[in-house]
Amino acid sequence: MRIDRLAVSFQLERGELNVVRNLSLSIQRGEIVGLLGESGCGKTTTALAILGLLAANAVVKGSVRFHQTELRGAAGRTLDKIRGGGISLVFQEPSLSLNPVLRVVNQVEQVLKAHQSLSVAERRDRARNVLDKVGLHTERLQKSYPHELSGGQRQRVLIAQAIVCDPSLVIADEPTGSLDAVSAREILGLLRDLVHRLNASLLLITHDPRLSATIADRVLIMYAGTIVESGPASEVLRSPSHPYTRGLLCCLRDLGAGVSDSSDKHHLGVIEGTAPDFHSLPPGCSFEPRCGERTAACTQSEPGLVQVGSREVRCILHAQ
Amino acid sequence: MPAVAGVDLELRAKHCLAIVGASGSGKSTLARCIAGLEQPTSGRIQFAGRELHAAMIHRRIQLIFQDPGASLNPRFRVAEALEEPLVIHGKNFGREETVERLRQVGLAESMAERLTSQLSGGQKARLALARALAALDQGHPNILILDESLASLDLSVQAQMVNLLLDLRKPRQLAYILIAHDLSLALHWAGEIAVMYQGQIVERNTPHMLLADPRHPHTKQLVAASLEKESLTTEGGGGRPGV
Repeated sequence: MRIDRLAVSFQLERGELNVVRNLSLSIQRGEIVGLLGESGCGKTTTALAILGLLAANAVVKGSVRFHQTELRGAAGRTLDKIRGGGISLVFQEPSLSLNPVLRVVNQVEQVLKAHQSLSVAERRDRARNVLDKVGLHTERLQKSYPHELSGGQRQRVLIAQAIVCDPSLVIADEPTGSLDAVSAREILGLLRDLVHRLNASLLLITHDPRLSATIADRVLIMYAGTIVESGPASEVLRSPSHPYTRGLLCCLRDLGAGVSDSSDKHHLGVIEGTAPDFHSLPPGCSFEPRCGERTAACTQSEPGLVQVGSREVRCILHAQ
Repeated sequence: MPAVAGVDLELRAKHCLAIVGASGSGKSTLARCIAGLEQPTSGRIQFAGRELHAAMIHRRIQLIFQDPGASLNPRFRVAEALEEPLVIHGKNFGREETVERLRQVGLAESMAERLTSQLSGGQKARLALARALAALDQGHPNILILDESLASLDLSVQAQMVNLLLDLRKPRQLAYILIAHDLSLALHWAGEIAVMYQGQIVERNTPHMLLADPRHPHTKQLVAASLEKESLTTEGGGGRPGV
């Protein structure tokens, strides 16, 4: 999949809101890409824009190409085929995405019914098979209603739905957001193994750098609707270039390194201030008001993405 | 069905105790018992050497829920939301005090007239904290229970909240009970960590010892999950942001 200069704005009474600005990314077959950013930075909007699932007041510009097909502005029938078939989406909150009055095995069958012409028996077989793959082995589990399952098990059902039609791209939007640490680890491992086995790609959307660190090949750091840094996951997360990425990892590193038994706990490194409001984005670099390394030039215009070695950085400090 | 069984815990004034464990391990039930929202079937909870009783409990022990924003009335203005616990507990208040209390949790005076639904996640967490503090008696050691209250916040906002809570500990004589499913925050912040599994406390230790020598299989799982997540981001990295 290749996204070129994607821009999403919403027409509101108060005016236009530019939520995603000039976003380009490509995902190769078999690659795991982490899209990393804090709430409200436009990650989910990007995912929804890819699949044409945004509300009617959204204006999408740029291009989203999947294999040879342009998805932006594509006909409903084309998109229906691709949604769940070629590209599937694992939503954040499994309890909201499942039908409470249908057994989970039937919900997996529904996806197959929409995309493939199979006999009832074949559908049942495939659905059981895929539920088995995601770790719901017993018939009792497969015939459960969503409320009979734990959060981790429900998330496994969503993953089963996402992979049952052998998609070539899975988009997972905070797939572990509602899970405890141990189940989150299992779910991530499962996702990684499944996409590898299918030779599919994974776009992992998350606010937690630690999640992308564990499985992503490449990461993109998003701030205020635009990519501020991208590159190989190990490089970007080990030695971040953009001041925002550095700040984010600093909050984290202090959390990890701060093991001390004294009652006098030290303060964490923080990024002061709050993310900008899309109604009043700063005129220059969108991170400038919170940045500790800002210069007068930062307020002039938004810097472009600059190639630095194997990565790209949107910061004036790297523009030379 | 016993949700919590045979739990013995002790929390000293101005200390922080973390209770960690998977979902369904009984952490929140235990927290609700301590905060007086649930009656234990057996056993007892003492505060400052005396049995907990309804009249004092909410003035000395406050709980901030999992999703702090969800416990705010969206039609209330920030000032009203903050004054509500003061009215309930029959305390005096005036506009100046409201502003001072907002300032204490890092909210500007201009926030007072906003609707709570217009606040960001971090601002809602700050307001929930201000409300909990408003209910507590000043000048005595008190307990604040954070039931995954920071889990839904972004990392940078979480770090700001932790710093704020650390700053308030001494002046407001606060002891914290931090309920979490994730070890990372507990390791940083708590003086002692209790690991809960299937309603029981299976291990209690200092963060350092827990990390170095986890004994119970569930503790080992938690430590492994935590270490794996940290592995990439703790090496090297850039300097602190100069803020």
